[in-house]
Amino acid sequence: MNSDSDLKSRRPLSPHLTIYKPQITSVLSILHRISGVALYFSFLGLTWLYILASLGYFEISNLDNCQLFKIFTYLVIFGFFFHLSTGVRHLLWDTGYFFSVKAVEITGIIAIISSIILTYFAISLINFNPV
Amino acid sequence: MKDSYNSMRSGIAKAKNLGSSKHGSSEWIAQRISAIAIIPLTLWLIYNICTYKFFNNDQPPSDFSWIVSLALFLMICLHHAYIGMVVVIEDYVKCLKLRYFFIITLKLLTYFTIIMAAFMTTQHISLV
Repeated sequence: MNSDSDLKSRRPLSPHLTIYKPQITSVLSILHRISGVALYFSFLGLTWLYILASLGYFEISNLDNCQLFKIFTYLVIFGFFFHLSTGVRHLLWDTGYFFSVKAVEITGIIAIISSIILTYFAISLINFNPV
Repeated sequence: MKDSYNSMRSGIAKAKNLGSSKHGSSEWIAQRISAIAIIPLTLWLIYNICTYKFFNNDQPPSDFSWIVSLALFLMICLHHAYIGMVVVIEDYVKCLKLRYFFIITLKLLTYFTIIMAAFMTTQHISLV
């Protein structure tokens, strides 16, 4: 007589995720999710910096010469525009179009390129600091 | 309306309170609307950051447009992020007790932050 859990452990498994070849569809899908979670914590942290600075517990100018914070902001900007570009794809899919393999691959490549271009423009705008 | 909906469920499903949560689609729609709203808000905020640096570097930003764009951006962005995080938690946390613990913690943390940030922005407003 097999118990229920005994039977479950001997059942064949479907292939694990790692067995599949990474494709633009699956990689962009999971990166959209990862960038979203990373952006949640980044924005929460940045918002708390703003709150603490407003309360007088922290000076924003302390971060002026912090290279780590600079790298962090660049990463947040890239993450933001990546999430935005891939998010627009999700909005397009919600209209019921662009579901063919070809369309998904083309919009995926467009999303990657546009996120890089938008990041470049945003970072150059931030560094644009005429006296 | 409600009767016709309930008639589609079996007796045991009704007793176990299975079936639609009845507010799933509203969160789905809120997620999409906030996503669309963030796009122009980002442009507005970036415009304000750039023009701010242009004029005065040693004063904290205080004009109305700056504050409203920052407050709206933070509030809508964090709300959008909250709905997304709930979806992620529901997908990956199997244990129901742990799942609700995470979601409630997330909700408290996010909305406390939103309220604090919105309150702080009002401290800086100067209607010039």
